[in-house]
Amino acid sequence: MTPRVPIFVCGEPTRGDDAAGFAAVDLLPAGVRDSVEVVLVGQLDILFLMDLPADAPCVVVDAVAGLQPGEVWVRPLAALVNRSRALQAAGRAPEIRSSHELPLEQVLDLAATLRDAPPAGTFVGIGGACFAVGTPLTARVAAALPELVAAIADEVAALTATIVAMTSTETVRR
Amino acid sequence: MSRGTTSEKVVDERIFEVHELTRVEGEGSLRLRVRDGEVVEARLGIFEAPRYFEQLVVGRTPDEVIDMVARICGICPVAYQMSAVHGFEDLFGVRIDPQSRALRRLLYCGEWIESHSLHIFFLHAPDFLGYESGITMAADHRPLVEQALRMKKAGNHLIKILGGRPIHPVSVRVGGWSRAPRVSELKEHRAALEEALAFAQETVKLVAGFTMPAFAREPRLVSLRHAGEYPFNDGRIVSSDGIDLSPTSWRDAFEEFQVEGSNALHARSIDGKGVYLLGPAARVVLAGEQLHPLAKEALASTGLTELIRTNIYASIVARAVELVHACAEAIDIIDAYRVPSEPLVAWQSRPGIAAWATEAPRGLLFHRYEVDESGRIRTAQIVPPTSQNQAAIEADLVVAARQVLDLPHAEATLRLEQMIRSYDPCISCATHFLDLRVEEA
Repeated sequence: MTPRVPIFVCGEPTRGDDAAGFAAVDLLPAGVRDSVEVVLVGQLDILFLMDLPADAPCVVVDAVAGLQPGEVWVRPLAALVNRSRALQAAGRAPEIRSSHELPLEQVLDLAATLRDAPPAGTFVGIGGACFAVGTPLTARVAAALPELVAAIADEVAALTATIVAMTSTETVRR
Repeated sequence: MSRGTTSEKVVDERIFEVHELTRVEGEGSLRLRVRDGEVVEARLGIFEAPRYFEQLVVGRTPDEVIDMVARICGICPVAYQMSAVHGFEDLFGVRIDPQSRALRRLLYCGEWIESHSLHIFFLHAPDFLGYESGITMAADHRPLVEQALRMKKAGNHLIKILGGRPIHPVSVRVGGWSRAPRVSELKEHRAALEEALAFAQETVKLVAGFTMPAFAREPRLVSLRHAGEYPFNDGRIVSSDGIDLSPTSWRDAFEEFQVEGSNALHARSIDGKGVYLLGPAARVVLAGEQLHPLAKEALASTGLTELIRTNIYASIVARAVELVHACAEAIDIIDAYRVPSEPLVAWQSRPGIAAWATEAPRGLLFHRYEVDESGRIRTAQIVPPTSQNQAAIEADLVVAARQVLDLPHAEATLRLEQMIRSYDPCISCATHFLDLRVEEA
C-alpha cells in the first residue's frame, strides 16, 4: 500500500485569510483525500518534520503575506530553505519573535540542518489580504480556493507518483 | 540619545526601545528612558490583541470552561485546565481517585518538560552562547538541539498520552478524566523520559556554567508550597516574607489593575509592597525542600541557590533543575501507576465561588469563577503569571538599566531584552482579558 502524503495545514481558522489552507483541504476531492493524511498543525512545529521518514515527501499549505491576494504560489520546500539561508547570509533574516511564530522558512531550515537535507516536498501557498481576528476569507481568496485546491491536488499526485517510483525501485532492488 | 538644555544644565537622556521583543511568546515591546543616569520610565508594553476569555466563558458549564481556557495558550494549556478544574472540584466538594490526582501531576510534568526545554534551548540559551536564535545555534550545536527537541517531544508525547493530543488536551474533566491511560501506554514512554532525565541533568551542568550578567535585586518571591510534594496542582500560596494563604485566597493578598499602554492587566500586593516575582526561581527558593532528590542533588551541585534568589538571569538554572524534577517525578509516577478504579467520579454543581491556584511553568496561575444556580459561569477572573510578573520585569529593568549605561547603545538594548527573556514571559497568556465597555450614543 502506498504511504499517504502528509499535508501540514498551517494558519489560524479564525483569522481571515489565514483560514485558506483549512478551507482548501475541506474541498479536496474524495480521491485525493484517500491518498493524503491531513494534519491541521496551525503552526508547523519542527517535530512534525523530524518525525518524517527520510525522503518521505510532504505538502505544507499556508496563507502568505506579501503576495497578491488570491495568488497561488508553489515551491519546493528546498527552495524555501535556500531562501532562508540566503536571507540569513545577507543579514536580512526575519527576527524570531516567538517560538509560536517561528517563520516557516526557518522551521524548514532548522529541519534541514538537523536532517542533513531539506525536507522533501512542496509548499503550496496563497496570498492573503486580511488576517484580522474574527474575519472571514476575503472575496479574492475565497474566489481563488478552487485554484488552491487544484494546486494541492496536483502536488499530491506528483509526490505520490514519486513515492510509487521509489517503492518500485526498492522492490526491483530486492 | 539626546541632549537637551534647561535653563540651568544640560540634560543627558537616553532611550532604549525595542518595538517588538524577540524570542518571547507573543507581542510585546520595551521602552526605557534614562535621564542623567536615572531611569525615569520603564515600560514593558503588551500590544498583543486582547482575547476576552473571561467574557467568553460566561454562561458556560465547568467542563466547557476547562476546554476553553486551555486555548488561552498553546505552551501551557494544562496549567489553565488545572487551575480551573481544581477550583470547580473544591467548590463542588469532589474527591477524585488518588491515581487520577497522580495523572494530573504527570500531565503537569509533561507540560513543564516541553515548556522549560523550549525556553531554555530555543529562547534563552542562545543569549548566553552568543547566538541570534536556536536555529543559528543548531548549526554549531547540533547534538544539543537534537536532544532538546527529543526532550520537548517527550513532554509533548506525555501530554498526548494523557490528554489525547499534545496541544490543548481534551481529557481533563471535573471529577477526573474522560479516559485514563492503560499502564502499558505509560510504560512505553518510560525510556524516552529516562533519556530526557539524563539530558536534563546535563542541562543543569551546562547552564550552571553560563556566565551570568551581574544583577542583584531581592524581590518578594511568591509560589505555592506543599508539605509533601513540589508544587504543581496544590499547596498554599506563600511568599518569602510571610504571606501564607489557601490556594483559593489569592485575592486576600493581591489584586489586578489596568495600566495605560498595555493590553494585559498588571498585579500587585495589596499590602503596599507592590512588586513580586513568580516562576521557577521563586519555586526553587520557597519550595526547594520538596524537589525530587535528583533535582535537589542537581541544584546543590551548582552552588547557585543564592544567585537564583537574587539574579533573574540565573532563572535558567532554576528552570533546568525543574526539568530534572519533572522528568524524575514523571518516571516515579509511571512506575507506581495503576489505572484508577474510578477515572471519572460523579459530581453535582453548586452555586458559589470556584477558585484555585496552580503552578504553570512560568509561575502561579490563579482562576476564580462565580458559578450560578444553573451550574453556569456568571463571572470569571484568570490571573496568569506573566501578568503578575510585569511589575517585577519593569522593576528589574530599572536595576538593569543602571548596569548597562556604559555599554554601546545596541549592546545595552540587547542586554535589557535578554533580561526580559529571563522571565520566560508568555505574553499571549497575559492578554486574556480586557475590560470591555460598549457605549452607545
